[in-house]
Amino acid sequence: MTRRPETWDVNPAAMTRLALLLALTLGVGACDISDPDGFEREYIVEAYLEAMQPIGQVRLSQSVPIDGVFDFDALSVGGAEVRMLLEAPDGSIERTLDFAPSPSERGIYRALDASAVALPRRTYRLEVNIPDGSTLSASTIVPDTFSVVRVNNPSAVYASDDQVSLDLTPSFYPGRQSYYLFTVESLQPTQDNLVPFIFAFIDDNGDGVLDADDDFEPDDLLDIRIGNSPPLNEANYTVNADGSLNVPLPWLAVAFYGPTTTAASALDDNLYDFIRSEAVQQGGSTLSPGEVPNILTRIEGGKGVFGSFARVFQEGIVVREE
Amino acid sequence: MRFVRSVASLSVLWLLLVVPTWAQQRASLSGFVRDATTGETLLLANVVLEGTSLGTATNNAGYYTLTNLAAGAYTVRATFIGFQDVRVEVTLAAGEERRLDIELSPDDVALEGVVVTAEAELEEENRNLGVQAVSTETIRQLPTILEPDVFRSLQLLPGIKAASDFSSGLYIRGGSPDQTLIMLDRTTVYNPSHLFGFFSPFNPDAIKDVRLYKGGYPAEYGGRLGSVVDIYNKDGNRNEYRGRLSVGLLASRGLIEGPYKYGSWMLAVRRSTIDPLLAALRNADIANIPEKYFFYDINGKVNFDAGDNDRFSVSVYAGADNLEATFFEDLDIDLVYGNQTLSGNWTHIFSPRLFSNFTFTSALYRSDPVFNLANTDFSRINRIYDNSVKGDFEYISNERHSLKVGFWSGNFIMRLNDTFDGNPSLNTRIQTFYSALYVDETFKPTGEWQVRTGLRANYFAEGDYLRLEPRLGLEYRPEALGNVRLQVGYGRYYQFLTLITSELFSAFDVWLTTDDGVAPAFGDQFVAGAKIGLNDGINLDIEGYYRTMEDLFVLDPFLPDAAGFDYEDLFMRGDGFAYGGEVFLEKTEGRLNGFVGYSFAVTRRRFPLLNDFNYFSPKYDRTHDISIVTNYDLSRRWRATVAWVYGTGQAFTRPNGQYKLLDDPFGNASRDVLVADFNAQRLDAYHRLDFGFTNIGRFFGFADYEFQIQAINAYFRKNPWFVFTEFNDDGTTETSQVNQIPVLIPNLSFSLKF
Repeated sequence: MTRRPETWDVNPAAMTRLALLLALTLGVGACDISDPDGFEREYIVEAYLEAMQPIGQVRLSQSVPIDGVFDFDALSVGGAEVRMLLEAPDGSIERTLDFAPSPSERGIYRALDASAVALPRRTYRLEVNIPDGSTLSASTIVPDTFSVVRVNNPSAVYASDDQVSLDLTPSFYPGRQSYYLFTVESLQPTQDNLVPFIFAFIDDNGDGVLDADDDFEPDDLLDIRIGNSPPLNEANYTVNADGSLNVPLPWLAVAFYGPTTTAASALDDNLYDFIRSEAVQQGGSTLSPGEVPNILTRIEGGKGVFGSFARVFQEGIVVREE
Repeated sequence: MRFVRSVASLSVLWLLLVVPTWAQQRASLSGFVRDATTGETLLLANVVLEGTSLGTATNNAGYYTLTNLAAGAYTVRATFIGFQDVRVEVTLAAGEERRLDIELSPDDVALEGVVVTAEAELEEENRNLGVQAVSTETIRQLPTILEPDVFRSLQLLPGIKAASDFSSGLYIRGGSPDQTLIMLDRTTVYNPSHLFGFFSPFNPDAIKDVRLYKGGYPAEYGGRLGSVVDIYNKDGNRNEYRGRLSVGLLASRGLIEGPYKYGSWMLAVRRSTIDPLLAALRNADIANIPEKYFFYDINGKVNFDAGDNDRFSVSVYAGADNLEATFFEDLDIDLVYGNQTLSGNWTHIFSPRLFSNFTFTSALYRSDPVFNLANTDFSRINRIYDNSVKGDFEYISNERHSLKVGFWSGNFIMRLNDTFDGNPSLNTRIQTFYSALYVDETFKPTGEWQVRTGLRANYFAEGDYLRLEPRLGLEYRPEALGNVRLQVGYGRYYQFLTLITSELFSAFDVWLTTDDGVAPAFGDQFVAGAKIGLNDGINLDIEGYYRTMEDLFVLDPFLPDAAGFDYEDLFMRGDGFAYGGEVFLEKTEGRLNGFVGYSFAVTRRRFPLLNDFNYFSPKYDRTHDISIVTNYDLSRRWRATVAWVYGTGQAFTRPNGQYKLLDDPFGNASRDVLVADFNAQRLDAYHRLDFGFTNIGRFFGFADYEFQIQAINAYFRKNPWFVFTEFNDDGTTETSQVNQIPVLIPNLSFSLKF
């Protein structure tokens, strides 16, 4: 099963999730009772724009009943007309980007102009016409770019008081503060490099060995190689004298010792909504257990996400404690 | 403070206006009704004049007044469930104001083998619309999960639902727990739970009276959309020193009480006693056993009887849960949460017709969780301070008119300080003045009809909200039908607080208030019912209700981080409604007694981000509930108690579709998404049988003992708690059910009463 123990949420939702985790861990029994009644197939669109990076692909597929398997090759949607419209500040269409189907992958559409980049602080509109007459559309405002001013303690001892922290120029998003998502990627995700908490979390039987008795397979480490925070607000962080934001990296976010890459991403509204509601769907909120809301998507005519972000990277080293 | 002065002035003015209407040539009869063995006042006892249609009930202080009586001889009859009736002959002269305190002796049915067969008579107040009382003896007798519990006993009544076996939260007539005002000795209790929601904090040994207003509650209460639980501590035995010791599997309790020169006192202590069990489990290397866990309660009360017409009392409560635990090596949890209340009360009888009560209340709720995960700290300091003064006046003008007026003013402070990783992440402090003024008039134009009208004005400074709440009740007692009451009621209610809580873990509960841009929630309640007194102490209650919930404000469940948001943007606004019907058939006397309750209920809510703003069933919505509780006295020393509950399935969300996002730019191999109709399905039905036996007798000649052996979930029913769906690595999904208590839980307790 998928393991995602590495978020560093700070609100009551996190504590609810923790309580759910404890309740399940402490031996409350469970049994399978799946039932797919009431399913309606929907079109799924997936596309992302990264500020000042080439405009990527658009992926089209369909949803599948809960008792099925999402096989993109089988569920991909071909033959669609896909285009992206760049709006001028006055709302008029400044540029139209046409997309063409990938010759090798059904359901994948790529921009004809491979040199086009996503412009920060600009609005893009995605329009998709499916051969059966269905249409999908969505808009995004690309967050402004930002940069790393400096890195404090790039090589830090795990769980020490001297944390890795980044000083960032603030991003900009119209009408609101910036929402950031932080990603920590281990570059040496080995079993020996697991930090104690993650090791103990996986070691179900507590015998100090990770093996099949713990429902553990070596490939599971790849699942936790990368960890993401929930969306965190700009207002959380101290503003330095030079106007930059000081963003400390919580040790909670670290799953492995060794070299890591930390990314800070400023999110648009679509990604913010998708990610925050995905966390609720997985059980972390004030909703009662068993209440599963749908993901907040901003796709007209279907589901999925058309999101944008701006991002910076920084490398560091997590040093094993004495 | 200007509002407080205005409220006080209006109260006095009102009384001045009505006092001159006293009828000087008519007699009156008034006094306290008490337990003859302990001197405890009996709340809501019946006092009637036999052979007339005149009667009343004692108030919250155990005081009654009958006015406008013609001179002559009367037989005064006082009754109270569990006590033997008392008849007193009195002769009143014209204009006489007779003080008649009455003492009732307990039935002691089991010990004496006496079966009391009183006339079936409807109590006055207890049979009002939406009102139900539960005796502490009933609470102690009911089979219970480890520890007798007030709220779990209330959950057996029709119209009241439990979220699960693990929760003592009260979901009353479609309302969430925050829609019920919970008071102990007139003081608001903000998070009444032990063991993270498993138990309520009210020690049944220390409690005299539990009164529940399920809906349509009168104007003297306010501040919640739904209902009121009004709990009173014992005063303490006024006649002799008595004590009670109880040992149970989870906790032990002790009570001592007695008289002193000027009144009485009571001290009750309860503490969990599972420390040795936890230590043994830790020594056996069982994983995830807390290093420390305990809870405790202390209830105390001192009464000072300054004279026939003045009584003072001070009541205190302190309770807390304390947990220290380590999970998965690096996850340390340190948690202290609990309540403290203090109230001072002055009861003054101005005259037989004018009764008053003044109270100072102080409530403190604290919750201080600290988590440390891999040297990443999360800590919270959550405090509520609520200090208030209230005054209540009851004026009995004549046998047709009675009037209650009062005020309640206070200062509410909520403080919430969160830190994450050593840095402040949330600092909130809300301080607000609140005040209320109410008028409640009961008019009996004939012997068959009664009209009760009320108006409550609420002021809440945070947001500067002034709201009026009208109340109306109509009762018809057709003489031709005997002990039958037909009742209808209406009320509007406002709520200025909302609770952030989790069904899983109540220790982190946070109360938030209205403010600019966050208007109070409000709702209307329409209630109708029939109360029928049959023979042999059998009563039948039938009630129906419809209620609305508007401007509900709850914390946005999708908000991952509140930092930098305007206060009003923290909330999700919605509305809802509920309707249903309830039947309650009880037999209060005889060797076989108990009750059967049935409720039909529909509850719907809607919020913009859930279910596309369409109405949905909240999880606690259950359509049908049945509860059967019976006691049978097997002999003079043995009693059997059986409780069976049945409820149709709770709402839950069963995903019916899924998809994946495969190009996630943040490193996830895929984002797995469920598609579902929110809470559109129902879990399997809930049912459970509990039974127990109680043996009583003398313990080496110096005390009465009570031994209880009980079984919870006697037939090992695996009732569903919730369902969750996970994705497997191969792309399939797995939907699983988590059960509530799936096995039989035994319970033993031993009590000494001396």
